[in-house]
Amino acid sequence: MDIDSPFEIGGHKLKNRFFLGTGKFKSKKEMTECIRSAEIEVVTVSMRRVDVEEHSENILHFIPEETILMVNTSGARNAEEAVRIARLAREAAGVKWIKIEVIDDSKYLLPHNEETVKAVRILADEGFVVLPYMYPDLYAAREMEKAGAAAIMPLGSLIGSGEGLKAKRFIEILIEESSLPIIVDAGIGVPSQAAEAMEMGASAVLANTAVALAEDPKIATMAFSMAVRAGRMAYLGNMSKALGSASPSSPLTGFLFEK
Amino acid sequence: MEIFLNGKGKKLNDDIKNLEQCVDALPGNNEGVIVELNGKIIKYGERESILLKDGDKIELIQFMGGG
Repeated sequence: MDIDSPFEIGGHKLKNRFFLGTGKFKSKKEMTECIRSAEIEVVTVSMRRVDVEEHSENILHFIPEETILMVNTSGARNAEEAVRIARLAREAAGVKWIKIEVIDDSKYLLPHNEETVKAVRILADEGFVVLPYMYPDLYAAREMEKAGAAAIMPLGSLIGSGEGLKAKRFIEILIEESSLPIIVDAGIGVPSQAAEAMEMGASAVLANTAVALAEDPKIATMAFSMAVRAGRMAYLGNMSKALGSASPSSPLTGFLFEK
Repeated sequence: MEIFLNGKGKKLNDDIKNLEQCVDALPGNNEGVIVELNGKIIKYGERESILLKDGDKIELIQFMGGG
């Protein structure tokens, strides 16, 4: 079995199942090093108003050309605003991949599934490769699929919290029931949590804060990348589940000191 | 002429007549900046031919880091 067998989104065959967000890095150079060191294939970026008083660098110059750019619609509070951001991204840089992120709750930053479905429908019709970031609800995931989503991105836990897979059981249901790739996004704080998501059968994992705020983001990126790969291998190896009772891993007969 | 730039009122110098000149007058390198005029996305090539008028609402948007 090919442990690095690719999976496909929007016609692209992807080998690296660790996606990286580009926010919160101390420097753009550091971000570039992370992308290169772990051969990241998909990165997310956002769109914001230009600070007209300041000189600002174009972040795209710091992202290797071969990397797939997935623009998130952060800042959107409803479907209409998400659609606007996607269209701007397409005009600005020919972007096709959109992570729909609609958040109308400033306390928990939870995604608004209903508005997200509306945006998926419009943008998929316009030819975008649409990846909705969502609360892991089976009914909503089915709606996303019908609306033309290319993959589903359920949250592991609250954005930026590092709390890991709080929504584990519900993500498992999406993995079991959806025919789309499931990419676990948000709340992944350490590589072991990313590995756990992959062991469950997730197709990929996205992290940002955990890497960008690490003391050494480059090492953190490599650690995540390896954990994601190890989790994928564990899934492919179909490792046995815990049995719930003691079970010897060495034979209990033929002791050397038996009489 | 007075316009709204990213939500704030701004008085433009008299020599700024079109959208291209308006974007070029900003500090820094504005390559990669996308422009909306009164809610409509403007293609790169059209900026020069669009003359500005009082009260125009211009939004300048660019890519930033994000997760």
